[in-house]
Amino acid sequence: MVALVMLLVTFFTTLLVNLIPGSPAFAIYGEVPLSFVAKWDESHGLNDPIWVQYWHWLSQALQGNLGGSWANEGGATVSQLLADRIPVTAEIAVAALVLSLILAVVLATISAARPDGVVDRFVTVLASVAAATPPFVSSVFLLALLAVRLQWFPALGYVPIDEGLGANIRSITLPVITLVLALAPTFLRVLRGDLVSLLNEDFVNVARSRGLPERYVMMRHVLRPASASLITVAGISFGNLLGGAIIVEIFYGIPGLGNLVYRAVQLKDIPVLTGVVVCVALFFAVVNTTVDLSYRLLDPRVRSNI
Amino acid sequence: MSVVGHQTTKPEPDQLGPTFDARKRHRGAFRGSWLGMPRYRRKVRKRRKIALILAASWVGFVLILAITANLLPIEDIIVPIGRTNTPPHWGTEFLGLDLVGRSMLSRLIFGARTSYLIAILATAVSLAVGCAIGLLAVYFEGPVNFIANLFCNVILSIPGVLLLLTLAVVFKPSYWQVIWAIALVKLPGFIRIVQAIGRSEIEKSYIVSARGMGASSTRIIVRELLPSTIVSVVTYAGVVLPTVMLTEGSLSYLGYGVPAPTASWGQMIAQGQRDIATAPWQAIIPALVFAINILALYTLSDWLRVKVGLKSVERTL
Repeated sequence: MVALVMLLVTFFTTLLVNLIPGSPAFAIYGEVPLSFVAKWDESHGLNDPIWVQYWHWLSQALQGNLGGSWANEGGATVSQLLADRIPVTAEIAVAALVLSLILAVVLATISAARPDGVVDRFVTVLASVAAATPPFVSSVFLLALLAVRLQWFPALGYVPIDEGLGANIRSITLPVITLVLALAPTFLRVLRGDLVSLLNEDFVNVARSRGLPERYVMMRHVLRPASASLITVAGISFGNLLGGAIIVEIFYGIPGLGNLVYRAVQLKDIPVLTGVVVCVALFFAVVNTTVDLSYRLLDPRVRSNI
Repeated sequence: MSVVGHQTTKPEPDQLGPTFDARKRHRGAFRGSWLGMPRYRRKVRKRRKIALILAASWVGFVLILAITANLLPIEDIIVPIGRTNTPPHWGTEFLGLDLVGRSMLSRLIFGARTSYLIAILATAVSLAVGCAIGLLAVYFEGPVNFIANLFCNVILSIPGVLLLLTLAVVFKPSYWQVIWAIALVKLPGFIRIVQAIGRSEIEKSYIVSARGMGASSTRIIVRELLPSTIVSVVTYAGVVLPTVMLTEGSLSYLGYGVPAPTASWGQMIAQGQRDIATAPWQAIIPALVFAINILALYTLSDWLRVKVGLKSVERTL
């Protein structure tokens, strides 16, 4: 199924070239004579039937060659571009994911300990407000407050990690906060619900009556079963994470995958676009498989069934 | 003698469900309570009700403004009416003017029209197409079902924003193309829910007997399957509506929403963000309106979901 999906996804992205009104050459080079466009189309195989184009791309791609960028001919190949951009996006996405998980676990544990208490109510309201603020909206507030008014963090740009860890962290702080605001509420909501219902279970009462310390009960009897659904949600939210990362990168001018896609769409640079789509779709498949496998680690019942 | 809210007969413990345990634990909380509901629960309920009323009145207010936008005494949204970047000022234009000198207030109101129109139409398109595909998949099973699943998996294999950006390569921004693109992204959710409900319905005796009476496929799909799934699907549509609006906002923020002179919230935020250091209100006002709007819609959709009992359906679907 995964292979079939990948084939279809890449086929459709290749198909896009033929659906573009006019030639991509106009988007890349601006006003150019028609003879130039005809030659450009011919040399990039755009006059071939779609099957031939797709076969050409596929046979190359399976050998690890994703082709060259149209917009920047003779420059970096698509694979090089991806290799440059992925670490940047990965840094932001992983930082946001880890921080959201930590935040969600801490806040959910505190608020589930006293359902409908002051902390719980406060956290719930805060979470629903944050959930209603998409990345491109919350970044407006963050930017206006933290970058413009207080000037704690730079508003734009990205400092690579080899130019100093401190500067690197400062440059990704705002994007990461923006993503955490989008991710953490979902995690929190799910985890809190799980914890509240688990704390009412008999086995928790038994563990308490055995005199086990509350912290041990929380970690061993409550958080461990609750983490299974948390991982499911984390897996599902991965799409939101990557989608959010694309918008956040464009907003804060960070040279990651999102910016690459954005430029590629503007310039109708199909090889780059296809490269990113393949990469992301593959990654998605890997994440989903990992999520399935991690259930076995966490839940012995699943282990015995398979 | 029976006073309202006073229980004359003592219910069995298993009828009381979870409240019975709670009742034992916090006896004080139940003093003066009725219908077995603790006082703090009632407080929570009241708070929810207030939030619901606030949300409903916001959405109603915005909808009325959006519908009557042409009749309101507001400035034109295309023609500049004053100096560029005029800050908000009571008396004249209380939300200020944007970087071209157009009225922020009228652009916000017409932006509401764009947002709601696109969100409602895209959801409706997605609902109609999703219902059709889902029902066909349920009824004909086999290859049709396989193709429907494949279709869902292909769409779900990359994040929605990336899919929309990819589609943006080919489409020229226009109302209908934006609507179709967003509807496409939301389609798998509709197909999946129709499949899930349809599969449990198709085994039931009324459909089996319809088949036995020799009803045609069309008749079974349209007259039997469709009515039994439609309520859940329409509820689901209400639940996804806010996310559709979010998607529309992101799309127009990225510059691939409705074409330029038409006002839309996402595009206002994107425009205002360029001058955020000197004219912060240009981004903050539309961002605030957008966030409040989504919050209100989420509140309403949560209420709807609980009301109809569609609890298992998550927004992420």
